[in-house]
This record gives sequence, C-alpha cells and structure tokens, in this order.
Amino acid sequence: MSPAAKDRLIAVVSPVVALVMLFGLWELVIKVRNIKELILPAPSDILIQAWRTRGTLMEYVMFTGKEAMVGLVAAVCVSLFLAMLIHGNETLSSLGAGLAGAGRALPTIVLYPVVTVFLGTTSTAVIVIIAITLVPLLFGYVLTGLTMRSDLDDLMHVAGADGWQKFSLVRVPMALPYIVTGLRTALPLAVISAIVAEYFGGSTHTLGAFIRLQAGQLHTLDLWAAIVFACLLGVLAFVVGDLLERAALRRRGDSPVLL
Amino acid sequence: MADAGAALAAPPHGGVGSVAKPATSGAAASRSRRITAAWGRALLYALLFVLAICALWELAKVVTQTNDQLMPHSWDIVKQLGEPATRGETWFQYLAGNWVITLRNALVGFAVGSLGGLLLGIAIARNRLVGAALLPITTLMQTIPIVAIGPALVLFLGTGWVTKAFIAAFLTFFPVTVATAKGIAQTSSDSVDLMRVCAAGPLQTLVKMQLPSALPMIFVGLETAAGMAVIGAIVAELPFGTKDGLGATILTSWQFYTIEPTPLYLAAVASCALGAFVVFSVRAVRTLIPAAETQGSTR
Amino acid sequence: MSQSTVTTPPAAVVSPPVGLAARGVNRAFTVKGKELVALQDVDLEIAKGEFVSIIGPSGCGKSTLLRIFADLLPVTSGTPVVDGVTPQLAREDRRLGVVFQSANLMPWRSVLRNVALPLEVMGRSKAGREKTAAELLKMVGLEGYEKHLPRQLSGGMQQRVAIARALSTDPKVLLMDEPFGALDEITRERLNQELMEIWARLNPTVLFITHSIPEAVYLSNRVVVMAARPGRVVEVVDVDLPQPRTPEMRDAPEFHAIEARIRHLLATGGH
Repeated sequence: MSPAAKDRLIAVVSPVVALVMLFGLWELVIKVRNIKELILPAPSDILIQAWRTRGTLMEYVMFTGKEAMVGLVAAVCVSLFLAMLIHGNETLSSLGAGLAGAGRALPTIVLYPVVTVFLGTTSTAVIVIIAITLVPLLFGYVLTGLTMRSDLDDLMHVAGADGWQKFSLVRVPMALPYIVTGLRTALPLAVISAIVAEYFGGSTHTLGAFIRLQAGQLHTLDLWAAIVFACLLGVLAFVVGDLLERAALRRRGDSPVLL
Repeated sequence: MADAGAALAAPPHGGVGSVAKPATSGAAASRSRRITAAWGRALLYALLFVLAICALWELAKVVTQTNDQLMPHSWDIVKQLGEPATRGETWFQYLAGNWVITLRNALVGFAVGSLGGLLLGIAIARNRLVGAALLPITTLMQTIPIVAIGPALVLFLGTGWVTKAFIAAFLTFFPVTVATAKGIAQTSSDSVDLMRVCAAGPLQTLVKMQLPSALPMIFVGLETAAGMAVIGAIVAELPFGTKDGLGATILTSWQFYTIEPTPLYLAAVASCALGAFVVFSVRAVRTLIPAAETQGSTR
Repeated sequence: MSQSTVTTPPAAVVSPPVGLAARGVNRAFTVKGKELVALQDVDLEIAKGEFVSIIGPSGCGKSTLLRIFADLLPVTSGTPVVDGVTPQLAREDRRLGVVFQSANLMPWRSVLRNVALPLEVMGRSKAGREKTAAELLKMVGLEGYEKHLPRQLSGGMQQRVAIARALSTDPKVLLMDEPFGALDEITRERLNQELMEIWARLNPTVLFITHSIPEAVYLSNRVVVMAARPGRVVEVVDVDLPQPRTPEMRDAPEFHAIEARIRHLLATGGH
C-alpha cells in the first residue's frame, strides 16, 4: 500500500474506531454498573428510540432547521447591507469593527425573552434572536473582507477605474473568502442558537421545545433521542458550511480565513 | 520591505518599518503605550456601545409610540436597581449575588475545559494516530448543539453547581482543543528543525517553540470558548428546579414580566455584562502576553 | 491604442520631449506627530523613451517618487510631470502602466483575464481586449498559459503576466517598483533580457526601481542614485554602454567601473 493511501485509510478508520470505542465504553458502563435508564440510557437504547420516533423528530428537525436558515439569511442580508454602507469610510469602518467585536463578546441569545416581549413565544421571535446572534459575527467578517487593502487597489487606480469598478472587480472578490468563512462559522451557530432559543420556551413542534418538555417529564430516553437528531442537524450544518467554503474557494486556491 | 515612503503611506500595520530606531529604549515604552491605548479603546467602545443601545432604545420607543409597560425608559431600568427585590435585598444586591454565582460556574468550567483542551490539543498535534482519530471528532463536537445535553446532564449529575460548571467546561473544551492542535501544527518546520539542531528535547521544543508560536491561535480559541462558557453556564441554569444564577433570574423575571417589566431587562443586561466581562478579560490577558498578540489570521 | 487628446500645457514643452520630470518636488509625511521628509528638493528630467533606474537605500523615498508619478500620492510642493502632463491627466488618459514587486494578480481570474483587466476597466469590448491580451502574453513568452490561474505559475511567470498587464493599455510611461526583487538571480537576469527586448520594441519611458546595482546598470540609460534622511538625489550616473545590451557586457570592465561608481556613491551618500 502506498504511503498516501495508508494515510487516507488512517484518516477514515481511526475516528470511526475512536467513536466506536467511546460508545462501547458508555454502553459497557451502563450495562455493567446497571445504571437506570432514567439517569443515563445506553447508546443502543437511545438509537433504538431515535429510530422508533424518527417521524416526529424529523418533523421537529425540519422546523428548527427552517428557523435557523431564515435567521441566517436575515443576518446575512443585514450584515451585507451594513458593511457595504460603511466600508468606504475609515472612521465608520473601525468603529463598526469595534462594535462587532463587542457584540461577539455578548451572550446575545439570553436576550430571547426580551424579544418574546415584543413578538411572543413565536417562530418569528426565534428567527429574530438567531439573526441578532449572528449579525455581529457575519458583519465583522464581511466588513474585514471589504476593507482589505492591497496593491490591487493602486493598480485599479492607475488603470483609471471608477468607484463601481473598484468595488465590483476588487473589493467584492477580495471579500469573498471572508464572507464564505463567516457563513461557514455562522451555519452551526444558527442551529445552536435556534435550539437554545426554542429551549428557553420557543414555539412548540421544535427540537428545543421538545427537549425541554421531555426533560421536565423525566422522559430521559426521548430526551436523548432528540439530542441525537439535534446533533445530526448540527453536523449537517457543519458539513454544508464546509462544502460551501470549499466550493467557493477551490477555484482560487485561497485558504480559508479565521478571525 | 519597500522604502520609508511606502511604509509610511500605509499605516497602521506598516509602521515606520525600515526607518531605523533604537530598539531597546523605545520598545518597552511603546509597548506599554500600546496596551494603554488598547484598554482605552476597549473602554471607549464599551461606553459607546451602551450609550448607542440606550439611544436606539429610546428612539425606537418614541418612533413606535410603545408604552412604558412594553418598553420601560432606560433610566427606569437603571432605577430598578435600587428597588427592593426579595429577602430584604435590593435588585442590585440580588443581581450581583446571582451574577457572581454564574461567573463562578462559568470560570470553573472555563478553567477546567481550557486545561483539558490544551492537553488534548497538544496530544493531537504531537501524535499522528491520536490526531487522526480525535481531530475530526472534536471539530464536529464543536458544531453539535451541546446545550441540548444540558437537561440530560441535570438528570445525570443533579442540579448542583457541578453540573453547570461541567456544561461550561464541555463547551470550552472543544474550541480550545482544535485551536491548540492547529496552532501547534502551524509552527513552521524550519523553527522545529532549528530546535532539533540545538539538540532540544521534544518537551523543550514544545515549551519554547511550538506553544509560544501557537499562542495567537490558542487565544482565538480561548476567546470563542469564553463566550461559550458563559452561555453554557446561563443555559445550564434554565432547567426546572434551579434557583440560583442569572439563567434562573431571567426565567423568573420573564414570568413576572406583565406585573413588573424592568427586572427582565436588568437580568438580560446583567447576563450580557457577564459575557462581556469574561471575554474581555481573555482579550486583556492576551494583550499582556507579547507572543499572543499577533493575530492568527489563517487556518 | 489610447492616443492622447489632452493638449500639452505650454509650460511642459521642452526639448527633448519630457517622459518624466520632477521639478523641486518635496514630500513629507506626518507620523505620530513627527514630520518625516521622504523627498527633499528632487529635480529629475527623463526624456521620452528613456530607461532610467533609481537605486538607493531603504527610506530614500524612491517608492514615494514612483507613487507620485503614478498619481497615488500628492506632492507637498513642486511639480511632477508625466508624459508632458500632470500625473492625474496621464493616469486618466491611460498613459501609465505599473508593476510592483509582488505580481498582484487576481487569484480568481485566469492569466488572460488578468492581463485584460486594465482594458476591461477602460470599457473595451471583450473580443478586442482578449485579442490584445493574447498578443501581449505571446510577447512575454506565455503563449499557451492563457487559461491558467496565477497560482499555477512560477514567480517569474507571474511577474511576466504583471508586465503584460501593465503594457495592455499601450502606456507611454512604465513605472516599475522592484519588479524582479523577489526572484532568484537566474530568473532575474532572464527577465532583464526580456524587458530590454520589450523596451526596444515599444520604447516607452521606463522608471525602474531596484536594489540591484548590476540590474540597474544593465538595463538603464541613466541610474539615479538616492540617499535617505532626507530622501534626495545624490547623483545621476550615465551608463555609456552600447545598445542593445547583451549578457556578455555584464563582464566588461566598463560595466564594472560604472558598478563601482554607483557602489561608492551609495556607500558615501555623495560625500
């Protein structure tokens, strides 16, 4: 076997082995120590329950996923609009970057109850709080991308480009890796925010609300089954974000950015 | 480097680059000046942020003609701090007590999770098999909504502070692990070769070369983790049966919102202040460590 | 290609016609409250079609001077002249081409579309600009690489693309800021040769900044030696070597004598 093929095999096999070992250990401890299902169920029982209730849970996943998507799209629109508005002005840009940094430091998700005061415990409230959570992050990325300076700006100046040409031919393509990386980072965060907001007391028929309900009634097995689907949704968001980033940056050979 | 003209024409990062300057006397002074400036800026931004929010709040109130019940005046929210809450405490004392409780849970979790993340990150970076097995898993774990596990953990570990610290630690652990592993992996092979030529052992190479050069990246992870730790600590206080902490305060004041609206806003602001405090503390520590200062800008 | 419609101001009419000129040019920067003189009383006359290099230590203001000619920086006082007019007019009339030390290609564009960029900015039709770009790529020896992306090219090839891009608008003046500074010696000498051939063919006025004494001597009609703090012209050295230059000349005693003269000027700052 060639070394490269061996590396690839290790890359695929070893995480799987590690996961199997982890869950095997969990299973073993539950069975050997005879831990009650109410406290912590075994992985096998959780998977069986997840499969059994997959119909209902998938419905919740779809609903939560939709909320996360709409919230993300709203946040992207707001961030793009704000960043495009101020990126030309240096003072406003540095102020905006500072505010975005401050905004990222805040646990904005706890503002959900405040949002419900205005919108009620509705799906709209969940979408709004997701957008509020994501805007500082996305806005920061977009603004950083749009304010990147390089010799290309000088080149465009010498070539006699007008404002729109500078924006469309240099600014936007330069900002693209930042925008895409922002999206990749924001995607899983949108799902997490959605579930936390729903868990606070969001609209019914969602993953977060279901988790809260099952926990309150001590239905541990159903609770864990919902967690399995929540994890699947999170992983899906991660994979979609990763593929999106790769697709957008592949042609350019750019490496993703991290802020 | 181009000559001074070009360097000067391109502030702020270019600096005076090639213009010779005494390295010894100026360096320490300009460093402390920079740190002071960074602190001043942070404070200014915080103040601006609060003022901007208050102004927007009042503006929105006037524009939408919303009543005081739904949108109390910002000064009324502040005034509520002096009003009696429970057990002879004012709202300020009550909030401060819960603030400290949540802060403690978040910090304990943050410390434990960071330490664990550092250790696992080092192991991942230094051992190929461990890295191949665990890096993909930790990367994915970062993206799953672990907060959902909170209520399950309460059933498992009880409603004590250990559960909350555990959730905070759990959320801290993964970003720090990934950042450490990536930061160490990024150390240039030339630097590692340099240490080998100096006959440095693996531990020396790690401590003197790889960890310092990974610091900027590690601090990016720590900052993310700090925010997550606070969110984790607050969300961990939401399940039934919890009495203490800001999460419980939010839920209680939410329930009594129709009777008394200002406490909910106070609780929300206090939570945001907690997050800002923890995250900005991490940023502050970073400005004190020279090796951590350069921005980790690539993956 | 882009013939001038701007009438030359009477003041700028001198003989021989002016390619580039600096008349009493001063430029100061204020950094953290301190005033730094990047250029002090710089006087320079470069005839049309002349190839002039600037050499000097870091901080002597050579890039600043180039950026003034490129209309990227204003002067504090004095008069810069580009192709008989102000830098701004020359730029707006697309009489300028620039090449920087890094190729600065757009990583998301093919080589051909990178070269065609200035023409695209001018508003030339797609077919027309791609034809011109293909011809220029052929001239710099990159025929067959039109569809490649910049990252698939070596450093020397990327710099060739940058030169082709600078030439796309058929500029009267070519401003080059250490274009070969990041290349290895072998590639650098080969590109020196190619640049010579391009210059002989199109005969633009060239201002060429370099840190390499042999490169400056080999390429130029004249070499401007500058000194730092404050940035100023020390002396302009004539290079009395026959045209066209050939690689063997690099080993000639006359070549070494001029090199030695420039080295001496750089070391002493003209004192």
